[in-house]
Amino acid sequence: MGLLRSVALAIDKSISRAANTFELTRGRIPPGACIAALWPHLAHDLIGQIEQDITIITGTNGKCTTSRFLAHILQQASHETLHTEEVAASMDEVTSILVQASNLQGVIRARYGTFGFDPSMLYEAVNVCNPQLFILNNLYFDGLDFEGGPDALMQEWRRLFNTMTAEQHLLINADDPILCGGFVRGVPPRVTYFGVEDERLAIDSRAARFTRCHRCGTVLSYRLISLAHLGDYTCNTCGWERPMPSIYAVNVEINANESRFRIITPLGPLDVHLGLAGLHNVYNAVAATAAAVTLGIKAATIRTGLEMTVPMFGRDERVTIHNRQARLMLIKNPTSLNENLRTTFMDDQPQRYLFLVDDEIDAGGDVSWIWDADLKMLATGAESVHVAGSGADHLVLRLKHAEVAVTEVNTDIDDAFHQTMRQMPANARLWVMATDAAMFELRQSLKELGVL
Amino acid sequence: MDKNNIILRIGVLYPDRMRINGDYGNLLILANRCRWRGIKIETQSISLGDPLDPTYFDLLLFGGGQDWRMQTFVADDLKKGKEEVLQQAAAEKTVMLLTGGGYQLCGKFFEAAQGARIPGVNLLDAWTIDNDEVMSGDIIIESDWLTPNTLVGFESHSGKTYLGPNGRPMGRRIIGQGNNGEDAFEGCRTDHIFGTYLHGPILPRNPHFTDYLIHLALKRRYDEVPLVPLDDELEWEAHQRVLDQAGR
Repeated sequence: MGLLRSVALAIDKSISRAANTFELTRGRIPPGACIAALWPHLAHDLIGQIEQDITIITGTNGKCTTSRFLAHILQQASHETLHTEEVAASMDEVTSILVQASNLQGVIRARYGTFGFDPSMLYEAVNVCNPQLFILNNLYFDGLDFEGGPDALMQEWRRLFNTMTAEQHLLINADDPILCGGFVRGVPPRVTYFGVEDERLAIDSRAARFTRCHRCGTVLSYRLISLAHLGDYTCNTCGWERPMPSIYAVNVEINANESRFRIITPLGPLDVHLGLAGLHNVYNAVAATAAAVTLGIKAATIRTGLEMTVPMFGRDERVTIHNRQARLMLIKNPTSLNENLRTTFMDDQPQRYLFLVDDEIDAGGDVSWIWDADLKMLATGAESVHVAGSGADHLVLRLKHAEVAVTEVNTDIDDAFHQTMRQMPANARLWVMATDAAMFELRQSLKELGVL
Repeated sequence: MDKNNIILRIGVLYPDRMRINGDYGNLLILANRCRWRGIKIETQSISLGDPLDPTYFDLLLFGGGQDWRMQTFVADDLKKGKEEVLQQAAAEKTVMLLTGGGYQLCGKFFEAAQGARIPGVNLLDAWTIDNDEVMSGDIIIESDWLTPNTLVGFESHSGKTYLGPNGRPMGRRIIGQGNNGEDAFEGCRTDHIFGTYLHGPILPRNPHFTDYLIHLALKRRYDEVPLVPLDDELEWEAHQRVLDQAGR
């Protein structure tokens, strides 16, 4: 390690630390730009120092939370673990995590790595990280940004799976027919399926009505739809059906604040009490459990690791100001909005909403997807619906066509938040549904106030 | 004519394959604006392998796909008989709203950067060449056939579309890239077929265009059906905001 590399590493570490502290880049940490110029295979060399297993998590939703669950389980087992925290996307973010974790000699001390990657980045991620475990979480059509769509992505993944070895292990969400249809039996890696089994979770879903059998193209029949197109499915034409999961959640009890469920595992049943609401988080917890079981972690440690995980960047963060609570829920595609609304309707209190919608193009601000979300349940169930942000008029129109009465519209996010909170009675709760850039802006303001 | 029995029949082509960028919104807007006027709506999805009656539907929606491979599946199905059916439907003056990938597939062909071609169904005199660069952002066009004459939306496409000698554009682009970012045009249309890259989706912020489509579609099977004016204040505010941002 030359002096020049040490200096470059020191500069990059300082930049990354400052960016994280002040959230200069909307949660996206700048990569090690200085050191990368001097160290061509920086990410590969740093990641190669991780002593044991690397887990890659991919899917349209839940990557960061699953990564966080697994990292907490591993840390609970006294294993130093590097992991993606708030943003899962590309090797740049992972490189930045590695740079921050290394000392000035470029040495990393970590036993495990768990990294979330955008589905389109999986190929590159595998080449650099050489992971032992892959978690395939979900592929929601509406959240997928991949040229050619799910079919093209699965073709690319099949090529990837064919290059994997028998030492590598795939953990696949059995409830997702798009994922399971894309995987071909007989390729080298070992496979474990995970899922959720509880008939009480049944919902109706437009996404499921469009999901077709990967073998024959017939629209799938569902014995149970649990979330978007996830569930217990079968093809009435060719007989293809959901694989049986070996690790799965049962007895799922969810309310607006928390969830309790039992995970059936080869180690025995785990009774888990999460401080996170939403069925999507049950899926994330089961995925992390499947990985932890594969890595040989003890059952009690898995449960503790799951239960100690707290929300991050707008994934149900909770803020209390003058005895009024705000719940910050990130919305990024129809599935996340639908699921967040589902959680709010479990609330015993009157449902008050503040939707924060930005339409900043450079922040991915095309909000066309709001038209694919299911908002009609707000027409009868909401006590108040406030809307703010640069893209407010998009949502106001969308709500009009769901026949939802809008209480107030404001273009300023900060004003809208504080005004709405002030208007609520003491001990009331506000559900804040915000797109990425809007969430960033609100969190900045709440941090400055010292309440987040 | 019994006003209580007016029914608009809408067919949605390949909703399982071609429905990105909020395309469901177009159907919702059409349905609501009819329903609010007492016009009944009948909708049906037509996907891979499904039969398509060339005379039944008053209005067909064909939405966006996620580019090359996705469109290949649909193009294959179109070539298994639906191309002729769509051409017959066009001859029957069925109104068609074609957005993004649906627009591309209804031209002459879609050519990948490597030269491979997906044949189109020849409803419009236009063709599309794939391109590495994604053209994305707000778009405003000015038409010479609508009142008011502006259409606003969001575009996000990598294909560059070019018009043949018989291809009439939807309008001239004022803001945005339009068909290809090179000439002045956006979209391609006939009297009752409208192909465009505008999504967001296109109809919510363009109520005049929505009613234009409804009016044309109803004319297929009914005498003149007057469309009762609706309260479009929110729609026009949203429309105007895009114009204001562009200094129009």
